Amino acid sequence: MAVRRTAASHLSVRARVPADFEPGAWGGCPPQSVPDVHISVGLDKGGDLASVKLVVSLINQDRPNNPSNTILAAVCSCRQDQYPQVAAMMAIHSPRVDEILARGVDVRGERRPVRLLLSGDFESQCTVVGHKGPNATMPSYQCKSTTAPSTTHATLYERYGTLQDVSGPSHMRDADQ
Amino acid sequence: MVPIPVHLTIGINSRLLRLAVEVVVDCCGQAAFAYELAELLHAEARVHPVPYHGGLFIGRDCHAIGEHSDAVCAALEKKLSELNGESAEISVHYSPAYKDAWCAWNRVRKVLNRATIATAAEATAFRSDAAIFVARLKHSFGWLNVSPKLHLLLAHAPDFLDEFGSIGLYGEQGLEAWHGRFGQTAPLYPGETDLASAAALVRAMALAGDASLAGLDRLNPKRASAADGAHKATKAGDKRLRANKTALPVCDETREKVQHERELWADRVFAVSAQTMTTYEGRLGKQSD
Repeated sequence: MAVRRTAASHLSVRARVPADFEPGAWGGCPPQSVPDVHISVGLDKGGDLASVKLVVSLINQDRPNNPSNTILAAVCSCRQDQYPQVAAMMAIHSPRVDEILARGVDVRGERRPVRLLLSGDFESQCTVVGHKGPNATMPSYQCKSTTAPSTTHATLYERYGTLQDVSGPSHMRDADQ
Repeated sequence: MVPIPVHLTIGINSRLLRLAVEVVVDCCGQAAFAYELAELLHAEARVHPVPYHGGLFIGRDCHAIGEHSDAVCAALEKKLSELNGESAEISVHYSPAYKDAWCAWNRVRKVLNRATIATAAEATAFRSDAAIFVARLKHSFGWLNVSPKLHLLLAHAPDFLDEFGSIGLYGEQGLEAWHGRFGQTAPLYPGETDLASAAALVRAMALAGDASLAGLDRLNPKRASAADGAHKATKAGDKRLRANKTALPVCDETREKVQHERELWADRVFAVSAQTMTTYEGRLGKQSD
């Protein structure tokens, strides 16, 4: 596998994966200091005869968006958005995803952790993680901050304060801790 | 799990075009500007909306519109300069603010979509430009809400760029390309139903998943890229320039279809703009009561 150096690995060019690392413990989000392999799983509906396609990409390579460098993992014919069928497709592949996150990937004889990224349009990303869509308190599915409040909201925040996380980490996993 | 900020260009490009129509609706309430804008984009940037993706401008058209944003700003300025009285006073600050928004967006767009690793200086400038872009939009155009895409651009895209070095490399183009490739390849695997045909194709791909050396050699690029500027016209009379080319004939039906798409786009943009401005004025009215 020809692994291209990304910016993250460029910053940690001398870093190596610890010999006793447990990739499963990182849950698809290894620390930045560890060289990792980026895998994106995308879901999108389209085509002349509309169908939902599940495509897996490996980002750490030349031309990651070339269809020859991506894997069509599943196809589901549909005329309208039918999430139960898509969920059934994802259910087949999710053990494989869990397995690769738990084990990591061998690159030039060295085992590296995997960073999982969701691709596809925003609606499909929200659907996969179980978020109902952008709303006033959660503009995106991993963000609890109101970074750009309207004038009215900013005035209210100034006067009464807010329970929203507007200054700290914007990741849901951090806000929940 | 990290979200990738995708589809930002198509959404924000569309929002900026709609903003011009909203400004005109706010100042004089004319619907004609939406149609003028569609014709202008066709004449200057040679782009046209597509019948899918909500009838928007997509793909390279968004970049072509960005490159010709001066024409859009000039058209808005000309429209606003024709106003008299109170409308003219209202419109004074809109034109420079709109031009600034396009300038900031053009700087952001180039880093946002480029499939290369950005330098540290580019990442810093991207963060600054994205913040300036959204803040100035919000400051100058009171009715504009920070949509999910603007929120992603402001709050998450700079972090993503800092962490991974590129946003374009993580784009969804590979996923979108599969729609076309699947349409071409699936008929080679006939089945009783579409689903059976699709299953046959995925099964064949899984069996052929182990790339052989011969296959890898076949996929490797064999031609070197052209030198920088090798294909650029150097003389005013060069036939590679668009102005010196003979226009290709277009059949009447195609011309009518493209014209119809432009009219549909203008209809939709004006309807949404009018709704937005009505809501905004209603909100202002409630606040003043």
